[in-house]
Amino acid sequence: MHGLVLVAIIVVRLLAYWANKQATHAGRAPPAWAMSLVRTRAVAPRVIGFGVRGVFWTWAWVIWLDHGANAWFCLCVIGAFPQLVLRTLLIPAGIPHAAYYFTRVLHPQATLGETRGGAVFNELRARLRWGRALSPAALERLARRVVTFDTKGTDLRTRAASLAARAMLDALTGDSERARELFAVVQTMHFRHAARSARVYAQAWLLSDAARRGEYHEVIRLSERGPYTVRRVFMRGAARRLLGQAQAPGRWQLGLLWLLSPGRVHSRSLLKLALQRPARSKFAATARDFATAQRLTLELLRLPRGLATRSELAELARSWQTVFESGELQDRLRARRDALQGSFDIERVGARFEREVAAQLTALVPTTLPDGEPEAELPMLFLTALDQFQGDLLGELEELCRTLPRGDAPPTDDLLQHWRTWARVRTLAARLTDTLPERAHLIFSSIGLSTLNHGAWLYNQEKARILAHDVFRFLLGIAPKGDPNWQTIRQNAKLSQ
Amino acid sequence: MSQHALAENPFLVLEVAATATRMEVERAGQKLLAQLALGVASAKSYKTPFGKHERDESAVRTALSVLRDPEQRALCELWYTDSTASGEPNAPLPSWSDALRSIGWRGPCTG
Repeated sequence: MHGLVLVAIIVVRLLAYWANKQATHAGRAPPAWAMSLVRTRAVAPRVIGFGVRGVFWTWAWVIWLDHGANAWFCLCVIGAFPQLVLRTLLIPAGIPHAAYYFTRVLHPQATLGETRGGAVFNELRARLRWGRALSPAALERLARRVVTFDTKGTDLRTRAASLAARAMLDALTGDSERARELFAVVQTMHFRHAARSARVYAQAWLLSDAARRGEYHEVIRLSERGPYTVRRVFMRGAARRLLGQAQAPGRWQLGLLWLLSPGRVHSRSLLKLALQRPARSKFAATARDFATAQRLTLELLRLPRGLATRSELAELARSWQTVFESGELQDRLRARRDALQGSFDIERVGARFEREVAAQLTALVPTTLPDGEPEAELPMLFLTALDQFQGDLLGELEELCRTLPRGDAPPTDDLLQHWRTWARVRTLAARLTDTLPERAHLIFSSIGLSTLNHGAWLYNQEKARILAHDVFRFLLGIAPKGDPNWQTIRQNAKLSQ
Repeated sequence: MSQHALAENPFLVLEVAATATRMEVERAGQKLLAQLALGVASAKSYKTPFGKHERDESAVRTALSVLRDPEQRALCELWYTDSTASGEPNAPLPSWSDALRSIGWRGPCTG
């Protein structure tokens, strides 16, 4: 009986392996049944996965009771459940090369399409567990051919695990900024192109990296996207408490989340920090005069990054707006001009000071989280600061998108560079969406067409189907439904899946 | 105008009040230049609302030249806040030192 179950599991794995081979094979339409094996709804593989694991553990228990286990049987189990062996044994053990060759030989289902990328991803996770074999030469060997086109010229073998591996290598070599950009793309990739383990790892890295730098407002932003995990909920709760937000969970609630989240030994220190942090009192303008506005500006600037709220910024802008409109500033400048016996133009100095205040507000905007206050109720000075922030970001985005190849541009054969550029575009767009969600629609009107053409070029000229799909999927999220290109984007996204 | 720019306000660099006369400003600047030339330790830093900042001869000279121009001085006066009145700067938010270890990352990671 046990033998039959074992054979059945191996047959199913072989079929899944073959189906994936077929589905990732370029230039030939895979059979429909093969596609249905590897392309299912997100819930289905998860439910099946849990079911299979449940059966496996029950079965292992029964065998343990029967004392019928032997070496051949253990090997068969390893062959049938390589991902389980990797996750529970090889990665925690951290033995150099073991996870790499195990992945290459046994092809775990999670990273099936990515022979080398998946192996490097698992190998790096194993090495990092104990910090072994991380010399520059060792990393350089691993970095070879991780994000490249395959022998048929397509990018079907470069998916989330390969990109996560590349991001890990970037972080290890000190390029944390590029690592963040790549991880950010990985965590939001479509499940058909991204193993859940890679997406979860990317999200965990980004959250931990932001917390490591003390950027808890960034933790809250990051926790709004990517796979739904307990770690993400726990860290968002801890960050909210550290920032003294009203929506922060209670002590017991946070404690429970910590108990349910992974990595409890190390995350206990975060729990302690969050529980010890006293609630902060909000700043309020007691009067609308120059001295109050100046004091409030200083107090907000002296706060640690991320602690100031959007409503406090708006309050500050209202104070300054009143000062500028009341003529108090001009009176002050006139008095000083007379005292200094100068001859400067008061209006010019006043306008310059106003620009500097707006610039100060612009610098503070990205460190605050949106609170849903409608823009119609915001003072003009604050809107100027928001416009400045938006203009700077969109300017950078447009500049970047202008350089994206499109139309008849020849293929470059540099997949890594394409992914890096795209990751940069996604990062800048996310910065605007996170900071000013009510203005997210402007991204499409600003870079929509150039990005759509770039996606088409990637698909047609470069045969980078996975990357093209990410481009179209991103556009689908920001394009207004009434846009004439919406149907085209939808069809392209479907085609490139 | 950033936090850094505010901390480099010429009045803070020269440690004079915004109401100081031209003579007082010049005297304070010359005194600091002399102290810096002699390597007096107390002259090498100054207090700002955002904590202590480094001071060197070029910062003092720049501050003096800015305050000689009435227009620029008037603008600096608007941004000036007495660092002694504002108290100690706020401590930064505590960073989570075990963050990367919690995901099984024991390698280097900077920046």
